[in-house]
Amino acid sequence: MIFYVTSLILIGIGLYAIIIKKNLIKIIIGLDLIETGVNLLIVSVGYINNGTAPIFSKGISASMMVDAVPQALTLTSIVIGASELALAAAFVILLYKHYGTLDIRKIRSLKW
Amino acid sequence: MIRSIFYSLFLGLIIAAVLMFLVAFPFGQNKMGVGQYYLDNTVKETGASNVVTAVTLEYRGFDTLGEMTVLFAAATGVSLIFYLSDEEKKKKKRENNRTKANFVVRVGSRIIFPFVILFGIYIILHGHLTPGGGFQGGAVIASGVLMLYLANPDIQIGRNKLLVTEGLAGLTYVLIGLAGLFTPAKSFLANFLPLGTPGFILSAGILLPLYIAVGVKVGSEFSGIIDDLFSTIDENGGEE
Amino acid sequence: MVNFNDPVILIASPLFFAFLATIFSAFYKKAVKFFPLAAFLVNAVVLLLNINNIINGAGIVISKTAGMNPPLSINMAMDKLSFLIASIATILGILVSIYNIFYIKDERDSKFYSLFTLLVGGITWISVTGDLFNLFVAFEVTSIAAFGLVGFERDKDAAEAGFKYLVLGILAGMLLLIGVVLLYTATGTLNMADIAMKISSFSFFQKLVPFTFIFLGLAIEGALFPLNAWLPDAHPAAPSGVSAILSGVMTTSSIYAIIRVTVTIFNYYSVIPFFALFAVPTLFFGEVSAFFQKDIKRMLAYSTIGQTGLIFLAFEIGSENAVGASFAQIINHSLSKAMLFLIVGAFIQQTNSRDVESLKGMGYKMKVSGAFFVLGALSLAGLPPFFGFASKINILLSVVDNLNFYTVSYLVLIVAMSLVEAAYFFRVIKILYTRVDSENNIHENAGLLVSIIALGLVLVFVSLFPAQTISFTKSIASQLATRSYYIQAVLGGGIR
Repeated sequence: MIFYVTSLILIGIGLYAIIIKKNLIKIIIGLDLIETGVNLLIVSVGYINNGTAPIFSKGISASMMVDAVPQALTLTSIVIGASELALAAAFVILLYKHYGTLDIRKIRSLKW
Repeated sequence: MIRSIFYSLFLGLIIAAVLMFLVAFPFGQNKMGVGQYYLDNTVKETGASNVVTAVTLEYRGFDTLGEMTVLFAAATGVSLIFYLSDEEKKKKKRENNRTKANFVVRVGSRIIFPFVILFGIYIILHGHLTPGGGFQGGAVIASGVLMLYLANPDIQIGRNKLLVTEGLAGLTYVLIGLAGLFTPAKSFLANFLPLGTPGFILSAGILLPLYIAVGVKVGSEFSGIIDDLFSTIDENGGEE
Repeated sequence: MVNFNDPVILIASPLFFAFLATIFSAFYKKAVKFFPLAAFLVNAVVLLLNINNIINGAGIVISKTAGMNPPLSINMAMDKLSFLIASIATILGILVSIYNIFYIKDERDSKFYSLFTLLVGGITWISVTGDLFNLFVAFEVTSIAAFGLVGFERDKDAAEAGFKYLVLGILAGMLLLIGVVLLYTATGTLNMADIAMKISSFSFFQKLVPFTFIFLGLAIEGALFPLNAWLPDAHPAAPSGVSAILSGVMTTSSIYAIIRVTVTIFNYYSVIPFFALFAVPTLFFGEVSAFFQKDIKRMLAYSTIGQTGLIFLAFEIGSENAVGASFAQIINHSLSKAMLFLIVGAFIQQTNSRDVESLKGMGYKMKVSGAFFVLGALSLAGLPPFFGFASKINILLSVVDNLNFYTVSYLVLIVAMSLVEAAYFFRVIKILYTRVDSENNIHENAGLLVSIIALGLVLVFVSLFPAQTISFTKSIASQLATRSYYIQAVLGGGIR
């Protein structure tokens, strides 16, 4: 249960950062926190008590393994998150080049 | 202040609702639906030892194609934003008189680089047997490129080579998928290659070539993003 | 023999050409601009091969991947509604690809064409996928391609609009993903039909939590009030061809996804009345804001918000006629809004200004474009004899059919908003046809006219057969209502 709670708190902190923080970099950090929280949530959904990693080797049978699907989904969502953040960073650099500031209040029409 | 308290309460409410939903499905309980089928049949149907790889590339291989496309779109977007023509790049390079790193760092990074790449290739090739695979291996390769860029400010990868590599890797994935349409299974990404003996490197049919394509693509995509981000640095070492 | 009508080709072909464009951009850039066109022509052939089966046959085409039957693997399921969205995306994709060839003059064009191919391919992907996580991936492909394209101009506006869109878009994706994961937790599967089958045993609350997340995520993408702050910035900032796709079919594809999730997966008729809480303010806010805009592209973008509200409101009424009319409105909105954006792009290319006032006299200088602008504006505002009249009158008739305390107010709202819409479009038309003496070298760009005229002819063609089109959209609505048919078709009578 602690994993559920932690992941949801991470998501909550991330959302809070996006809504409240005025610094572009902090907003990106907020997005990253949400992504981390979601990934943690996906992995913890797939866990089964006393299960092992879903890789076959000596002495490991299918009945001992945790669910493999959430792990595959996490892999997908991590890569998607990484590419989104790269693009977000690119936009922040572009904004900084135009405005010379990272403060969202000083950027003309960015109202939230 | 009031605003932040309001939002905190609101977010707390959402978290409470999700927790109430999740109480019915406690942590650590077996909730598998299709997951159980994958665990039971992966070795028989795909020949891979790593069930996560089999799910990523075979049962949900279409998602992986999408994920590569997302990465491709993001890398293209980044280079669209930071694109400099060759002349601008040269001009920038002339102006760019960044302090060179220490001799040990420069030479050391060049010595370590091939081993980082080798390690990345190892991870990619063993994706269907051990924890690892194309994404992880590709990220390791890109981290080697990042190290080279950090240690040697004047280094420059040929962008055209990267473009061709990433395009070819993406095409390979799509073409392997389309080839499945011509097999008896008549479906995208059908596993038409011999499955081999589970546990050996040449096993699991199309999974190995797919993961090589993914690894090459991830590696070149992230290297391209690194190159683009470095191209925005000006002479003071910071952003303009 | 290979099934060339396999819906998976609809997705594989844009991806193939996008990757191929990257290779060609390294050594033969000139060829790249034709790649989007090639990709969507392939898609058009695939859709044509399916048309008989969709309209007269089974009405649904299923395709599996990895040789496994659903729910074991990701599957594509193209029913009538998916077919409608995919067809609109493909028609617009082909015509806007031709438009872009003459519009985009930039040394970065090869990257632009890759992203454009992915944008339209992603919209097709959203419409045909039969897997919920795959829907999330398709949304990410589409929106990331859109972020890059919005930032294409690299100026202040583009940077701001792109970043705003990016933050909200990522947030939307994450909310959607949380909802999908909660559904996976509860059902152990990601296949839409499988979830739809298993969800019937859920309590109201158990449905509500994942549904809320998925709905909020899709509502951000679909620009429903109050989650639409990004749209009026993002759509105008992109090059006009891209604006046409974003406004014409991308918001619509999010509405499609909301409909698919609500009706087919959740079977959640008890929440549909609450959609009015989003639809009514969206319609009102969009149309009224559009009225006050000085920037022509921004005006069209706000009008898109209003139209989305109207489509959603018609869906919310829920009767078969109303849902059918809402799909008819989707057709009308997509074709005319895309055409208006293309024409405005042609104007902007000549005047280099987005100000409405700068269009003075353009109707005389660019006669063909001006005429087609009038056509599109009249159809969008819902005036006879164009298709917009047929779709709007059907929405109104379906409201009258289900008349009660609330729907009377809808009636008033829809009529009032149509008047507002007509008012601002007539204002623009009046400006277009105000004579000015200044003689500068403004002339039609023949290349751009090709796609404008073609799109106008499609709109005229639809307008010539309003009854047939409406009856087709009604058949879509009736197919949508029988979700057991969808579930059985996908799961093939239950495997395992």
